[in-house]
Amino acid sequence: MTAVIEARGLTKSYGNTPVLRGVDLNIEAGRIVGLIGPNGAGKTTAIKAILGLTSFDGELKVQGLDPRTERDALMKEVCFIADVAVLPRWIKVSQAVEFVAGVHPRFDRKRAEEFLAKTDIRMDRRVRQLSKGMVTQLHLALILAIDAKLLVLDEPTLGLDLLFRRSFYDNLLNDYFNKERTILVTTHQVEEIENILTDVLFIEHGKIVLNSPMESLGERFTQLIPATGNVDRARALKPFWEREIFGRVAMLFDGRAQDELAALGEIRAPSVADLFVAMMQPISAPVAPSKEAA
Amino acid sequence: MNNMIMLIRREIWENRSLWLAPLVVAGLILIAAAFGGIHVGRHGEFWFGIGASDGELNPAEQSLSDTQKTYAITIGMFTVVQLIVLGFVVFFYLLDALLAERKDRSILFWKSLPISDVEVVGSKLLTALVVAPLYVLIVSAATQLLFALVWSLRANGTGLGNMLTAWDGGVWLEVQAASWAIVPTVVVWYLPLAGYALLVSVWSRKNAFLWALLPPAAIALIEGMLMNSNHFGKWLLNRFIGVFRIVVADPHHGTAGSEIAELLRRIGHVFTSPEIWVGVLVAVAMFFVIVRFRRYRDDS
Repeated sequence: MTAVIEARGLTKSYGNTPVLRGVDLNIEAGRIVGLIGPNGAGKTTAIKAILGLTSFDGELKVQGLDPRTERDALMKEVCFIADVAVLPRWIKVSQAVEFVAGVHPRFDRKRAEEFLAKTDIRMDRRVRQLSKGMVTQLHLALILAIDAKLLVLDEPTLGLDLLFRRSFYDNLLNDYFNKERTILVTTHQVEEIENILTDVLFIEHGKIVLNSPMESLGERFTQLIPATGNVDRARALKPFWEREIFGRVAMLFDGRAQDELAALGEIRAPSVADLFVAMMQPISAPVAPSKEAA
Repeated sequence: MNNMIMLIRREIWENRSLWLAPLVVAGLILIAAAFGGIHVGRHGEFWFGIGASDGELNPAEQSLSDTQKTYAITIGMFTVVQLIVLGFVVFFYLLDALLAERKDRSILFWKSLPISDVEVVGSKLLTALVVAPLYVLIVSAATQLLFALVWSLRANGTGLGNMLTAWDGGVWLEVQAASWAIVPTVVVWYLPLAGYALLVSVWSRKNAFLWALLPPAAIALIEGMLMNSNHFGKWLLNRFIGVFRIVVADPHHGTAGSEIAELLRRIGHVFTSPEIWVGVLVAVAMFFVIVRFRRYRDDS
């Protein structure tokens, strides 16, 4: 498999504030990768670098092209939705379709029109007359009709209600994704996309802190709720995170054998959201069980 | 090429004032010509305004060529008015062209498509400096023809009837030839101004108009305070109106640019002056700065 995105030592600072401190990435074709991190972790900057929207230092190849010098060629291979609100408000739906058809050699106009026909969006409407959900549908219709190798989505469903968010990702999987295509997505709503991801990347303070295929997360990380009386023994196995829920302690372990943990209590595979919360909290700080939780 | 046509269409979709404004001016001219009073000046010049017609053109006092010249100047003025209005529209269009897309963040949509920054910036300049002037020339040619129709209907059977002799295709063609020669000259002259407007547009975060005014105003003010002189202001004024001094009015050398050959000679003067070519070079440099700015402008 060839790498769609290959980055070595990506760095970028705004003034004296480093935003990316040596990001290494290797994303292969046919993956759906979630780039997950708290606000200000460098998600958007990393994505802007990949899309050639910002300058940076380090090595980066996207589809074998350098986004700094070969952006024009790159944009034939790559599509992105940066945010739901970026379609120009003055444009008519028909004009938006016409425009993309006019400038993108890989745009399938019929496909976009078929997609739009299934929605309530009328071709003679201007974007400013559409609801937020409809604007996203329109944007998705345009993007899904482009035969691009890499699709980058930066908070694509921000501010949408649950129904639109759900159908957005359904459309993405059913109408777009296949083995040759790659999707890189950032979102705050980790729970909603974790079941469609093939890989997760956690980014914090400008560094990748976790880079793993979904299937190996379950092998590597285990959540344990130790039986009463086993808490201290469990702690001795060095969980990297713990919290108290309803008077019971939940612990997360990295690289411990499941049999060993199972002997101490209930084990299960942690969700990506659990892992995210755990890994974004400093390990060194003693975990104070939340008093409000109970 | 296809990209460029699409991008220019996009500009026209977004900026309806570019094509509406010349039509509105044409409509006002024709309404004034059809319903306004005809006012005749001492030298036989005439114009339209509110109120009753106040004089009669006495054909006996004017030779045919004078009458034709009067007519030519009148319809030529229509074009001038349309071009001045267009000048303002285009200036504000350029000031907004690369700012609006960042304000509404639609730049991220445009940038998600395989269009280069050179093409985008080029499309804005082509729209402002080629498409819009061409369009105004065509609208204004049509305005003049419609005016001829209105004029012949109104003047027929009045004392102005003899002015009809002024209307023949020759006068119209001459005015057209002059317009089509003058407009490209003026466009080349104003290239640096267009570049400046677009530069402010790509650079500012808001209030592009104020940012555009600030540097020249500041320079003139500082010069006035420090040196008590106004060279910058004079230079700037010349940069604005210099081209018209050369092309149209040259009182020291007899006839104004009514004769086509004479006009072309004057245009030749403009194009051999270093001023215009320095302006072109400055505009080309600005173009690359604008492209560079748009490439990495990531404040959206």
